[in-house]
Formats: sequence, C-alpha cells, structure tokens
Amino acid sequence: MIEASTPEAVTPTRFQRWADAASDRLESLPQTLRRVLVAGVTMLCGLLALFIITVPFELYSQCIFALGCFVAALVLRKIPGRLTVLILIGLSLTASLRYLYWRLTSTLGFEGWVDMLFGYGLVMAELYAMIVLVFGYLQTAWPLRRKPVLMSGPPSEWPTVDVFIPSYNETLDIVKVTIFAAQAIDWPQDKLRVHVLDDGRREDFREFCEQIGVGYIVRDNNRHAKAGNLNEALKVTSGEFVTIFDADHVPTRSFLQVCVGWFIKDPKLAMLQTPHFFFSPDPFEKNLNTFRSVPNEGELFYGLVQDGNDLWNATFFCGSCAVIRRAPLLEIGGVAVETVTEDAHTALKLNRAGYNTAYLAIPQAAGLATESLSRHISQRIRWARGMAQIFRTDNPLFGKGLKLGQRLCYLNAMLHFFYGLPRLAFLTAPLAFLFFDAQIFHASALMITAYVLPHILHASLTNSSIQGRFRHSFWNEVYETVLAWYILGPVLMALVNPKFGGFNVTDKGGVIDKKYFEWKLARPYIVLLILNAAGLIYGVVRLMEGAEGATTTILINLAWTVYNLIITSASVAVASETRQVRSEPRVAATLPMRLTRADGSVVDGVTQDFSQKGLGFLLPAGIDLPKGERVQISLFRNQQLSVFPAVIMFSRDGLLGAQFDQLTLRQQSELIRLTFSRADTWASTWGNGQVDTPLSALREVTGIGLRGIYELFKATGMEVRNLFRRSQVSPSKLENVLDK
Amino acid sequence: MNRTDDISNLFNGFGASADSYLDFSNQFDYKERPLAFVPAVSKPVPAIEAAEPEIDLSAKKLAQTVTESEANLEPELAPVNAAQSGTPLRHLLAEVALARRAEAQARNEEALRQVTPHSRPAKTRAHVIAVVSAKGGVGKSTLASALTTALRLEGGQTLAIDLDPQNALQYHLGAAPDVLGMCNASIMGEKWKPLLLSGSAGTLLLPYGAMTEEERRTLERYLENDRYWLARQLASMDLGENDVVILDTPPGRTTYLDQVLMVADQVLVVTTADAACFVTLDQMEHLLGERMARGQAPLCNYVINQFDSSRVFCRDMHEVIKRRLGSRLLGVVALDHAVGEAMAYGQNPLLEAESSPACQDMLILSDMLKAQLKSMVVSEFYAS
Repeated sequence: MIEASTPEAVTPTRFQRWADAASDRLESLPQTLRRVLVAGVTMLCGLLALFIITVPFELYSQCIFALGCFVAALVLRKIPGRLTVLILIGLSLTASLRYLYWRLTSTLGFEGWVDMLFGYGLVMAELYAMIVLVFGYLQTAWPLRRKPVLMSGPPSEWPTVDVFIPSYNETLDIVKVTIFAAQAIDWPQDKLRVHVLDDGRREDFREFCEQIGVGYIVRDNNRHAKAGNLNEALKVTSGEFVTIFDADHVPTRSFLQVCVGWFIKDPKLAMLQTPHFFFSPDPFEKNLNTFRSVPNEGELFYGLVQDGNDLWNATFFCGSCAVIRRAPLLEIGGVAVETVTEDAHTALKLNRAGYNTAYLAIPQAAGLATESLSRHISQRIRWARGMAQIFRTDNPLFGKGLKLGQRLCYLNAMLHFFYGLPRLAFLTAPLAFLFFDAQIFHASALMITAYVLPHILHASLTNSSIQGRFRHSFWNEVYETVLAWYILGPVLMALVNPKFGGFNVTDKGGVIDKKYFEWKLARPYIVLLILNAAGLIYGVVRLMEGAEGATTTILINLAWTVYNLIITSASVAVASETRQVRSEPRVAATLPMRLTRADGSVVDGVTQDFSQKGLGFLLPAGIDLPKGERVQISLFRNQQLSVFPAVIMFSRDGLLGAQFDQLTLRQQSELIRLTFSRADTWASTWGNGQVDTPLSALREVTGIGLRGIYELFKATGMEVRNLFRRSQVSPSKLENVLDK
Repeated sequence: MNRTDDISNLFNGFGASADSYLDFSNQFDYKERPLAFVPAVSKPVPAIEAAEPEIDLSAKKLAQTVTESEANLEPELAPVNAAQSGTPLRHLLAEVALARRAEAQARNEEALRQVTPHSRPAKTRAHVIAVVSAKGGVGKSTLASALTTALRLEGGQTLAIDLDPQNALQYHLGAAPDVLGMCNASIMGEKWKPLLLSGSAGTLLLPYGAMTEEERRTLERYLENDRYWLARQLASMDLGENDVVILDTPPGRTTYLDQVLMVADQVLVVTTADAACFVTLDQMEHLLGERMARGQAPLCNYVINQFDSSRVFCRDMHEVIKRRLGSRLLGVVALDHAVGEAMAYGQNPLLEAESSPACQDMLILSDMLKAQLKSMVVSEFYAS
C-alpha cells in the first residue's frame, strides 16, 4: 500500500522542441549581439505589456477581450508543463493589471468621509492582495525541485554531525522517540553525536540520556528560549554540521545521507531545509474531517513555496528538520535572538553574509501537528509577530548582501502575514454598501463585473494550476479568516514597536474528552457571520422593495456577501473541536509482521498502523484473539526478526490492536528503528492528495460551512440549556506559557 | 546491489538510485534498569525450550518399549526350559517352533555369507537420497518424512526406508507400528517390497521394525560383511527411474552410514545452528571426503534445522556455517513447534500446518533437492 509518487514526465511538444532549437541558436551568437537582442526584446515586451494594460476598453470590447483570455486559459490549463504555467501567469497578470490600472484611474472619486474611508480602505486591501499575488507568482512559478545528492567516498571521510534536540516542557515519552530515532540515523557511529538540550533541566531526561548514551546539555537560564538554548549548545560541541530536531520531530534513518551530500557538493551552502511533515491531523483537518483528502495548511509552504524560494536561493530556516554548517552559523553570531521567529531571521542573516540556502522537498522527519485550535492560533501569532519584527528591524528590501530575487522572496514571506486587515476588509466590504449605501466603487455595475470577474477568475484558475496539489481553492480564504482577527493586533504592535515582548496565551492541550465548541476563540467568526447574514437579509429586503437603478449593484454585493458567508461559516466549523479518542496519534503503515501466541503457534500478518506504544494489525482468515492475551509481535528488517512482547487490546474480524508490554530500552530502540525510522513512510504520503478542481473545492467548503452553522446552533442550544441548569463547565485555563 | 526495502522505495520515489546508500547498524551499550526485565517476557521462553526435548523423550520412550518388549520375550523362554518333565503340549510345540526358526536363521546367514562378498549388484534406477547427521536430535527423521511427503517425481513413487534402530520414522508418517520391519525381514531373507506400509499423504514406508538386541547385532554383522547389502536390497525392489528412495539413518558414524553412502545419489546432512553440531562438521566432512576419494561420491548438501531467527546467536552461527560450507548449505528450516506437535497428534505437519514457516522451508528444501536431482548425471554402476 506504500506507493511512491513519481514526478510528472513532461513530453516535449513540437513547440518546446522548436523553442529548444531556437535557444541553442541564440547561444551560438556573439556576446554583444546577444545582449542587444535580449535588451531589445525585453523593451519590446515591456512596451507591449504597457499597451495591453493601459488601453481603455468600453464594456463590450472589455468583455470580449476578457472572455477570449479566459477561454485560452481554460484550454491551456489541460496541457501539463512549466511553459503552460508561465503562459497562464501571463494571462492572469494581464487581467489583474488591467483591472488595477482601471481601478486606480477610473473608479476613485469619493465624496464624503464615509465613502472615502471605505473606498480607500478597500483599494488598499486590493493593492495588498495584488502585490501578494504578483510576488506569489514570482515565488512559485518555477519550483526548483532539487534532487538529493548522495554521499560518495568512504564513511571515514564523512563529516561529523551534532544532532540537537532542544526541549523545554515536552514529556520524556514524546522526546524518547526522537532521541532513539536520532541514534538510529545511518551515519558512522563516531561521527554522529546526539545531544538533548534540556531547558527544563529535568532529572528523568538526564537519567535517560545517561542510560542510552546520548549527550545531555543544560544551561542555568532560559534566556531567548530555543535560540538561546541552541547557542549555548553550539559553544560546547564541535561537529562540523549541526542538525536540529524539535522535541517531537522524529527523523528517518536516511536523513543525514540524503541531506549532507549537497553540502559537500556546494561549499558555500550553509543551510538545507526539509519539510515539516505531520502524521497527525492539525485542528483544521481534525475538526473538518479532511485529513489526507484536502492538503493541509503546511503543504503549500513546504511543497511549493519553499521549493520556489529555492530557485532564488531564498529558502529560509524553519526551526527544525534542517542541517546547518557550523562555521557560517558561528560567523553570523549563532542563531538570531532579536526576533521571535529566530529561524527565518537566521537564514536571512546567512543569505546576507553571502551563503547559500537550499531546500529538499522530501519529508525525512515527521512530527505531531498542533493539537488544538488555540495552540495553533498562538503558534501562528508568534510567527506573524516575528515576521513583522524582522520587517521592521532587518527589512530585506534594504541592507546589503541580498540579490533582488532573495529580497522579493523574503519580502513576500513577511507580507504574507499582514493579511489581517485586508482579509477583514474583504469580509466586510459589501456591507458598507448594503448598510450605509456608501459609494465606494465609482463605476457601473457591469463594468465592475467585466473587470473584476476576469481578475478573480484568472487568479483562481492560475493558482489552482500552480498549487492544485498542495492547496485546494478557497481554503486560503478559510485559513486566513480563522487567523485574521488574531494576528491583526500582534502584527500592528510589532510593526509599531518591534521590541514589545507581548505575551503568548497557550492552552495546555492534550486529550480532549468530549466534543465542545470553542466559544472564546470563535467569537470573531460568529460576529462576522452574523454581520454578513444581516447584510444578506437587508439586501434581499432592499431588492424586493425595488431601489431605483441600484439593482445590479445590490446583486453584486449580495453575491459577495454570500461568498463571505460561506467562508465565515467554514471558519466557525473549525472552532467546533472534535473528540480526540486516542491520547497518542498513530501512523498508518503497512508492514509485514509475525504474531506468536502463548501456545507457540505462529501467524503471519500485516500492520495497519503503529505508534510508540502499540500496533494495529490484520491477521488472515479473521483470526480473533481474546483481549488480554499475551503475545509476541515480531517485525522484520531484511529477513531478520525482532520480537516484542505485547498484550492484545481489542480484536474484531481479523483487525487487532495490541499494546507493547514494558519494553527494555534496547527493545524500544529496535521498535523505533523498525517503524518510525523507515525512510519511505512519510515520503510515500507526501503530495498524494486529490488534485484541486475549483468547483468541487467550492462545493466542499460550502458543505463544511453548512455543517459549521449547524454546529453553531447545536452548541448555542446546549449553552442555553446549561445556563438554565446552572452547571456550566468552565473551559480549560489559559496560561501565560512560552510555547515553542 | 538490488535493494527492496524502505530505502529503495524512497529513492525510487524521486527517481534516483539507492546503490550508494550505506546501512549502519551501530551498536550501543544500554544500561537497562533492573525493573525493566519482567518475568512476563521470559514466560514463552521455557515453552520453546520445553518443546525440543519432547521429541527426544518420545524417542527414549520408544527405546524403552523396545527394551521392555525384549524383556518380555525372555521370561517366556525360561518356563519352557525349566519345566521339562511335566510340560504341556503347547510348550513342546513352542520349543519346536523356536528351533525351526533358529535353523532357518542359520541357513539364511550361511546363504547370505556365501552369496555376498564379491558380486556387485546392479545399481537401482531409482534416485536415492540419504538424510544423515553427525549428532542426534537435529530433526533428521522429521526432515526425512517431510521429504517423503513432498518430493515426488512424475510417474513414480517415493518411499522411505528407516535404517535407524530408533524406528521413529513410522510415527512421523503415521504408519501402523506392529508389523514386520526391515530388520526382521532382512534377517529372515524376506524381500522388502511387499512389506512397504502406506503412511500419510500417500507415502510408502519400510520401518526399521521392533527387534531384539540380538537381532540387531546380527543385522549389523551382515552390513559389516557385505558392502553392497543395501544396494542389493534396493536392487531387489525393482524400482523405476522415477522412483525416489529416502533413507533415514542413525546419527553419527555407523555401519548403516557406510551402506547408505554407497548407494546414495544425494546426501543431505542435517545440522543445527549451535556449537555442538558445528564441531561435528569436521567429522562429517572427513567421512564424505573418504567416500569421495573412492570415486563416484554422492552430491552432498547441508541444511540447518530448527533455526530460531529471533536469536542473534543463531543468526551468527548461521553466518559462520554459511561461510564454511558456501553453496553446499542448501537452506534453513525455521524452528516451529507446529511440526513437533503434529507428530504428537499423529498428523503429518505438511498436511496440517501448511502455512507454518517451517513447512514452507521444508517445501522449498524439497524443491531444491528435486531440481538438483533432475540435473544430476547418474552413473550406471556403483563404485568400489
């Protein structure tokens, strides 16, 4: 069942072959002639583009032009290949820039402060969206798709590597898996040094590290959290390379051999990042039940954006699952401590110092996603705040050491987090007209349609083509809506005063016993939902009353309001936390296994999933075992068996679950070697979700939205009932805790 | 190096080759906490060890019954001699019968002694596979019975002949125990073919038979005097070229082994992955070497039986034996109690516990021997 995903084979079409031949002929021309030719063509293209963008069309011709472009886009979409993507981007940019030019020149003419407030506000939001769109195209149009370089030469010549596992408040149970897996990495024993950096200075960690023979590093303070921890550890270690894994990111055994090769090939390479892969669902996937069917939020970033950054040599460090060369890191003064996103800042500094950074889109480590929505939100707040801090204190547009491509990529990474205000503006804009009758758009409704629709549709289509495997349409809006209200404040604060520490409110998380509704968190979405619903009703009423001349305007605004309703109701659905049955997430995997019963009989079976503590498996011919029976489970590695004692937990129709029974340290290590350390488990499920089609995505999000509204009503009903009974269950305490 | 494991899956996923990937199995010294060792873990272990002596115990029991039956015979004779005067008719008749039998025996011995020494019998057309071992308790009879069940050539029969005084093969194959065995038949000059019993799964078997100590020694004297005794017996069975004969032998260097090495086309040496068997490998190789020096040596193969792959020691021993024997080591049969238990319940393991790992291994072994057998060039005559 473990399938490997093969990259798309691009068959050269006749056009591409002609293009190759033409470029070959071009290469053969002398230098100066070539430069002149290139400059000439660029200028010609520029003039042409300018012409296309600025020529004013009347309604009819604009419609024909837009329709033509859109039809072309729909047709071209079917052809795979990088050239198609470029053409689609070109068409989208044409539509969007035409819209922007027309918007800025023909539609701004406001009277009255209400109009001006809403009007200019909307234009600013649209400008932001346009910039992010253009930069996004730049970032993702041509992902590098770097292939790993394997180690050559004898192991005695391989470099020394320090593996750092920083930990603060995670339990030993979770970190144990990472430590064992780090020990099991395929690398010469004398050149691999594993260190646990314990900022909690806990006795059980120290004892454990001593028992299994890994390094244990502590410091006497907790300044600068993880960055400070890493810097202190750098002082007492000496390996040529440094690898960092968060406490719950478990590496595979092939991690180093896959990653270190590039450092040997490129002496200027300072940092290589690999994806953060999660084998448990994040709050969106859990609460909306979209695990492994809709790509999760991180997949766009790790699957596409970083790969695109790699082309421009602008990959940035993400705090874990990366290899860094020690010398450049020490040169820039260690891990950056000035901002709370110390990882991105460190990479920026490395790039400024002239070093290269790289990205391999192959997941070689996996961890746990954030368990609850509140934890998720506080993590994103931290990232947003940190990015705003870097924007203020170390802006990539200024300062030396960066190339243009790097500047724009870093800038886009930071600008991405400023979506708070624009998103809220988009979610409330139609209400300005519906409630206050504000004339925020000076153009006839039809003209608006003729310009806005192509812009939106092209952007949607092009993004779907580029990102389809990594993000489905309209989910962008859902993710942004969920976080918009929460990151607005911290980002503004950080922009104004980057030194302000702020506080992170973190929920302890863990096992969620029953289904409940995060009222406190969902408040902003509920407010937006109610506003938009009210706007819808009001607009319908006005329509029925028959306002003169404004019918089409009302209709357009109503359509926009409905769209907003779908998005906000989907966000409300995210706040309805589902019950978490297992306290420990399982990894789905199919491995051969052997079961030995107490009477000595042996049965061969196949695993369904595994975790640190237990195993789920299938036996043939529906063999059932009684609960509580002691068995021995054997797993294979290259014909060799390793045996683990276990107790059957449940058994039904040949599907059984067992829990491992007090394993020795060696057995635990062996178990992790045979399960978590397998090199192909994460890579086989990466990027294998359903490819996006905008219409079905819209249908899905609408369905989720309806469910969200239903959950909201149900929860409201329960709350009202509880109020009558006066037995309110208090929500989990929120504490000021430094999250990771 | 062709890998079919997680590394190759990973590398195939992005279209690269995993040839230069190196595996490291770094060994670490873990300081286990004493509480970590729980008795529950060791519980199954005694079960495994207990299984092994079972077969030996049963063998001992058989030996016991044999000696008991011997003891039973002798008191019968005593009353006859003691009460000569007032003896009843039946005792007189018994005396006469006994005398008659002794005379026949003597005649036979004489006849055999006269006939045998110099004439070489014709080589039987059937394929002969001998299952031998240097040490006892390695599972020879089990393997022999498995081969008898599994190895069959088209258009021919497979029969097993038990040359081990332990007389255990009949229990493996589920043949009725109280009949005239090979030993008695040989002493009385009876032919073997009509005495073949049918065992489970359509096998044919000639058991060693229950005999007295005296009778056994007599038989062994025949063997010592006549190098071609077994060859003669096989020749008299008139077997076809698609027939296969499996010979089960007693462990160690015995006169049966010399006979068997004379007639066998293939020899399968059974050993286990431990030190005790390893040190006897020398002995076996020496013996086979002697045979080879005399020309027309049989094809020798080794198999490791009762292999417990969960123990590192066993795996290491396997490696050591593999290095020593090279391609002569045909394979490994896993330790599996289903096999021993099948015999205890009077069942043929290859029929009852087909899916057990040991049975799979035995079937593979049988196929390999069959393939060898088919490709062998068999000579027409016996060597001297």
